[in-house]
Amino acid sequence: MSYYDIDDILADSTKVPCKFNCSVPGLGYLEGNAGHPIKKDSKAELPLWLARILAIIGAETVENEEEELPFVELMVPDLFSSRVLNAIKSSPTSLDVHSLSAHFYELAIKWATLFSDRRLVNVLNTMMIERAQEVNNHALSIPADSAPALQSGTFLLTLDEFEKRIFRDSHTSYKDMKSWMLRK
Amino acid sequence: MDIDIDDILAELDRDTTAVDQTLTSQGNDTTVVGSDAVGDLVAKQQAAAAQTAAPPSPVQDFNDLLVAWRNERMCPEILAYPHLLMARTLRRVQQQMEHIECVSMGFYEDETRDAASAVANKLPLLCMEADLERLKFVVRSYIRCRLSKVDKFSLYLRQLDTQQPVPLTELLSSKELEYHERHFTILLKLLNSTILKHMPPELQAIDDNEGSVPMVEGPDLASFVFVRVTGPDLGRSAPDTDPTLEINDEGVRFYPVYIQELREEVELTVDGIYVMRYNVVQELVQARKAILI
Repeated sequence: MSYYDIDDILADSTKVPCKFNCSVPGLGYLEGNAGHPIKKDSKAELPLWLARILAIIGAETVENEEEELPFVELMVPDLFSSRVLNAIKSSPTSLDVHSLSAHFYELAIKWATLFSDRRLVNVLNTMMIERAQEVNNHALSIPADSAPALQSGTFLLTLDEFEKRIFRDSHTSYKDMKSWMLRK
Repeated sequence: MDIDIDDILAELDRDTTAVDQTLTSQGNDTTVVGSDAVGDLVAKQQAAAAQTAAPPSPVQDFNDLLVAWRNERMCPEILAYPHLLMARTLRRVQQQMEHIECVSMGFYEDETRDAASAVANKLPLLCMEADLERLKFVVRSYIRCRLSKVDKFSLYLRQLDTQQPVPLTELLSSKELEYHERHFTILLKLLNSTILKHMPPELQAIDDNEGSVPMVEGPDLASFVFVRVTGPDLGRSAPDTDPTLEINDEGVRFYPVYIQELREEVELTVDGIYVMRYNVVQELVQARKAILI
């Protein structure tokens, strides 16, 4: 998660649904109609790097409320809806993470940091461990010098970018180890 | 009755009479179990301690270099540069190269006179050359690994204050400092001329930590490393002199470390191998009580 991390930049550009808490003139292009003001309570899909800042910084202090009201309110994206969380809980290994989002874990980390969501973290921890075992099995079982077998192909298609990196690293190290042991 | 004379034998072995061994000469009758090992170890440690006064041997230096090399490769942060060790090593490389040169000169003269003895004498030369290559490989790999870290933490190193426990001149060698300085200048020039000059002035800084994402990336001290606990200073000082070393109920020596996030205390037993967050074992590694693997 550093400044020049390309995966981090890609993850940050994922759109999340937001609701505006106030009307802002001139920002209509966020909704697709440039030149018009954006209305209060209207919904827009903003990239996470924008939405994250707007959800923190307050627009105006409402008189009878002490807390500052931020520009936008983040709504729970489909990615972390209870439907997905239930699917994760029931069977982490058969879930197609890649179709949910290519950068699922990175988004989840950002989301959980933003909201201090303990429940989400717990679910993801279990998911991560379960899937890591599967990733390890696949990285280990593939023969050193041929293409991946078919049945593992279906699982590998469900990996997100982070898991792919883990898989690639562990697979390379297993493969190098094997070729070193065999042919020296 | 079982009289334990290990300490007396050890003293004879050491062949010194100047040091008074009050430590091991008392209460050995009561500690029958395990006293062999402890006595032996104490003797070894003290013999090693006596050696440190003498100039370090090439073998010792090579082992130190290997440890430094492994630590550097596995450690997330850039470790302090071993100035003295590297100076000695580089000098020896130079000497050995000249030595090999001289020996092979003698060869030419030999060959004209007696071919058989020349062939017989070739083996030491081959060994010397192979050994030199091995040493040079380690040195090269070590320096390269450090340079890649200098690249990575270029901005972070620039921001290190002078109040740091280790000043920058201690952390890097003079060559590395020069590399860092000039590489950074080149990089800055590239970024400035391609992108940054088109930006508004307040966005032109490349070390802006105030924005939504901090631009300066420090080493990730919380990453996990494999660590092997070797005991105090690789057996160079006596274990009794180390205040942080403790002994648990089963008589195993360990270092207590404290993991801040989990609020948990962990016993790192000597000779154990652990996967730990680097910031937990950082002090042990820097004090050479543990090595990364």
